[in-house]
Amino acid sequence: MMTFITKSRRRIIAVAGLLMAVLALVSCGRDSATEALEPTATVVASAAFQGLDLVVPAPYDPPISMDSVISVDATVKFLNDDDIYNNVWTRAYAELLGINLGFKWVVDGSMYDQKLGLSINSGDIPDMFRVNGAQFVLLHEAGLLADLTDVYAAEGSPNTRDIMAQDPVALKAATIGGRLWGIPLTDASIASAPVLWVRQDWLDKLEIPAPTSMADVLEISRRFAEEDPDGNGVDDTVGLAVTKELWGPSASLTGFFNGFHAYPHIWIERDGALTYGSVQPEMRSALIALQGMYKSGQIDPEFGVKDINKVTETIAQGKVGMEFGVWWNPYHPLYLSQQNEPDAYWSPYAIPSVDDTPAKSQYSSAVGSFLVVNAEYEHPEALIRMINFWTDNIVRTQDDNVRRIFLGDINAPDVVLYKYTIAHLWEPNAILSGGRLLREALAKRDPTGLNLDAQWRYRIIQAYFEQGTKEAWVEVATNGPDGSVTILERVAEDMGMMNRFYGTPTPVMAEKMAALQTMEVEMITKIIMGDPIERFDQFVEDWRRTGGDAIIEEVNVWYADNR
Amino acid sequence: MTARGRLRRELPLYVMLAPAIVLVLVYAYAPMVGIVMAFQRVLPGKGIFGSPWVGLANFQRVLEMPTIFQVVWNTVRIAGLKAIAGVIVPVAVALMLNDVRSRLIKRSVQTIIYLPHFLSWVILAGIVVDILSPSEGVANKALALVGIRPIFFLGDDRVFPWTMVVTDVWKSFGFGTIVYLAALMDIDPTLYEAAMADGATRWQQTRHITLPGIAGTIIMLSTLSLGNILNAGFDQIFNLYGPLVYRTGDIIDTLVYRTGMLDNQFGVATAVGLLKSVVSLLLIGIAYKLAAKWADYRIF
Amino acid sequence: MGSKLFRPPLAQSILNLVVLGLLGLLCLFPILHILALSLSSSTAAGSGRVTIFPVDLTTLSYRFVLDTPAFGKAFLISLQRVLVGTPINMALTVLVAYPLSRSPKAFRARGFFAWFFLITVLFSGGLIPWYMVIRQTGLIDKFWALILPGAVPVLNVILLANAFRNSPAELEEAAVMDGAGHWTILWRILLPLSAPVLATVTLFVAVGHWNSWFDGLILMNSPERYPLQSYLQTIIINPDPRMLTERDLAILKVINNRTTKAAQIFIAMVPILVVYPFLQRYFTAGVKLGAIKG
Repeated sequence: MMTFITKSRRRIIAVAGLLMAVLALVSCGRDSATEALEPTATVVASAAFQGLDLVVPAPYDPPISMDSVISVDATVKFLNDDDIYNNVWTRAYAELLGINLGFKWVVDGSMYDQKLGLSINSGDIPDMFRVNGAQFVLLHEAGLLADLTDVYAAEGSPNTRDIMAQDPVALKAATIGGRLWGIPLTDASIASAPVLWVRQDWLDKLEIPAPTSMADVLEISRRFAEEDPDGNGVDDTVGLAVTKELWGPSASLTGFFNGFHAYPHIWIERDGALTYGSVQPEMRSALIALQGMYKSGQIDPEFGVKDINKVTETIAQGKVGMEFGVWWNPYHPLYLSQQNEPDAYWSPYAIPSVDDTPAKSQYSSAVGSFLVVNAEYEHPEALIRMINFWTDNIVRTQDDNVRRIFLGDINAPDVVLYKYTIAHLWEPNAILSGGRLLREALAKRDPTGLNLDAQWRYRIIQAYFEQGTKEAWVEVATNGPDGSVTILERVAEDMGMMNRFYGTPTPVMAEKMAALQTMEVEMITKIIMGDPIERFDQFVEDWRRTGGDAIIEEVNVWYADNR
Repeated sequence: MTARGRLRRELPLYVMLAPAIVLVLVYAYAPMVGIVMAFQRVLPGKGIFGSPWVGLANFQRVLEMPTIFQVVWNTVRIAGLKAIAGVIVPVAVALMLNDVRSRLIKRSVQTIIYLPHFLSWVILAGIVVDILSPSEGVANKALALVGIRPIFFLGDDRVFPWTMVVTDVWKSFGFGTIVYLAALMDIDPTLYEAAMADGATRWQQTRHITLPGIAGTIIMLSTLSLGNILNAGFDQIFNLYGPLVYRTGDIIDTLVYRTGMLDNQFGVATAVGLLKSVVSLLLIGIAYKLAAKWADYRIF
Repeated sequence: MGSKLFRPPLAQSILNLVVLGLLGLLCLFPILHILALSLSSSTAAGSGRVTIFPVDLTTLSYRFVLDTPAFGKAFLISLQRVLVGTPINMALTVLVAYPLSRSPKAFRARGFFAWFFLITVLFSGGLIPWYMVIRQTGLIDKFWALILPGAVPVLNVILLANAFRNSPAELEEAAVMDGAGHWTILWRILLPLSAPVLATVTLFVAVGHWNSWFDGLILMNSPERYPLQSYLQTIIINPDPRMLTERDLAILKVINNRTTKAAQIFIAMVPILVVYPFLQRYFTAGVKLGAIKG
């Protein structure tokens, strides 16, 4: 027994010693690495607020305290000795608004919903916090939310109101029973509208004209798959990128269906009533076309097991030349194709149509979450003041100092300061209006009047045209003269199809929609891979029978009130 | 024996159990009160005592899911196959390892086969998809060498459950091997000496000494794995499955996940958990009886 | 070493080694792949060109990981968790396993307690009540929240109780004749006899502590208190369309998910790779000790 113990103790000591050595190595490595990667931005002293031109109400006196919660991802960086509890935002709220903001807990973004669920269900409810649609409904039902109708009416600033008005459904989504229970976190809805992306260098090489109809798309797909556009002598290219999920921000089929006037997953109006896009007959011809493409090897035979990360790899490997995605795809994942082939670049095209009627791109409201206040909190108006602070001073700022101090230094993109506050939202029209200003400046070759971000883009795009900087195509393809933002502009005018349902999930929808969508993805995948098209008709029947009709009914009851 | 004498003799046993009993009462039994949530519409802030009662509605919702029975069968099937393969493979490898004389090889193999255990499925899934690709994967290239046509391991719903079993064993057999190896080393060496003196063949030794020697461990470990029968491996399947294989690959946990466990439907989640517990209890009970009857072995 | 007395035929030995070698390769592959990824450029990793050899060798990913101060902190917390949690788990495992290994004659309530513990494996109230209890006992955001709620690993208890029950009865009987009590039997006879099982279970428990991530994420109130694996879970940047702003996209271009993640996984594995051979040697030592005493 004695030997047993001493032996094991010696072992433990040896092991611990080794671990210490490993740790020492780790910390040494860290010190040297810190120096190399230290962000260059300067310190923000409290006094810095003095010189800034900020619109703020008289601060609370004495200051009030507010308990909140926040998600901070591990990649979020802080300046100097700042942390999430003490940074430019907490200091600004304290000094300028008289609100001492604290956090009950801080969690990684991926766990936020779960941690909040546990927290509020165990009765630990913060004063002000961010919730998703489902949590919003439950909290309201439990009577735990403060009514914001009056404080918003009294204190919402013109800037706040204007931004809210840019998304006509934003405030409605946060309204239950005619009262406002939360502030919707707005963003550009139009950003989800599909765009067609094509490898322009391949088009040029094979001398294929730009696509103007779905027939052209099918032809490009065929030739990309058959005519060895990368010229490596191996038959290793496909016509169209598709993932096993079928939908998503890139390599999605949404745009393809839109070309056939089909609108999967959104609610459209037919004969004065709302109905579901995925069960309309227009889906059929798109499915037949996809089936043909799969049969002739234009779609990866293994797409059914490849998720977006795998498909991104094939894009980077230069095996795909066409995908339906969203306007920002050049930032990710399309820029990857240039890392292996410096001459690669993708051009955006509006969704072409299968016939003479122009195709419409579908999109949904970007409002997915809300800021809410605990019913028992004494100062619900404090949330409105925080939002006003953001809309009046930050999000539309033309002042470089304000941008640097509250959002971050544009030259140090790895320190993003607005992530330290939950009271931030985005202007729904910003992509379009900003894009327009930038293109005007490019046309007259004069960047004066642009804000810092736009000037930065301006220089990059100029570098592409003047010095031939190839990497700059990413900015050109999005914000440039014929970039994807111009397509969004047309979508906003009359080439869009907006999801007409923007409410929180109805009861049957919350219960059955996930199963119905699973059924749909299964049906589409199997038909593409060769199941007879009659399977679609069977799906429509099953869909209606196993809950779809009930959901349509609920949605139309909602529509009667929210038309 | 008097009650008093018995108490005095058993007292140290209670003392030993006391700290564990307290911890288990607090951290395992107290939360079980939460099972009542299976019969409630759980509202935030109302908790277990304030949320409205909904009777069996949560269970009804689970049973109304269109593919629920198929999914339960998939779950039992995949978990059962995993439990079986999860015994055979580690035992076989432990026997092989036990025969290796080089300590270096023995140790290295033991360390190496243990490594995949430390990688999460999120990571392994990407690698598995590569290895099993019908067109480019190493696995199918190897099969082609012996003239077998490419198999779509992850996309063919007849093959998919087996793929799950094999990849699961791949990830976890190192762990079982260590336990069995420890059990093998525990067998009294004199038994082998005696057997050799009697001229027993190698196979006879294995059959009559080695396997009985570790039978207890085998039964115990497989029963323990039966306890997890309805956890057929959410992480693994979630990262590898897709619409192509829903028919055979969808399990209770993936179904529940898709149906909105994340949507704060805690009532439904609890109902599913309770159903799973009851079925697990049944299966464990059966295994307990079988082990007692056939192997005369008490698991606990 | 039991069966080794009888040497297997040469052909079989070779077959043995070939099979084991193949198995080893199969298991080594993902590790090598990850090591190669962690040392490759993000371009190469992003286009799937890396198999088991690094492409465009670089240590940038390691520098990025080690640059994050949270990494070292999380590493220390995990170490602390293993060093504190493992002994507590083991002590409780032994203390519960012993009474449960007694015959019903010697311990009349044995059956009751066996079920008392087993039921906790089968039934649970789910996350919310569990979280509430931990909150009520004041452990949220405390180091002990990682240790106490799971302090009695019931499956390991069953494993060990069986080992105790299967150890030779003669020694115990002799000890009882000499007037030994329960503590002496446990400490002097059963523990040394069960050294291999104890070593195995210790390994399970230590690895379990090192690898668990979910409780850390849920029970800690700030990322500074995350153990290493919880922290690693959080460092993935998912291209989620709803979360991404243009500025996120700029970051996404600088940092490649796959290579950094690979570097972190590898660093997190280092302690296990270092400790494991020691524990392995200890298995053998334990067996020898058991054999001599037995």
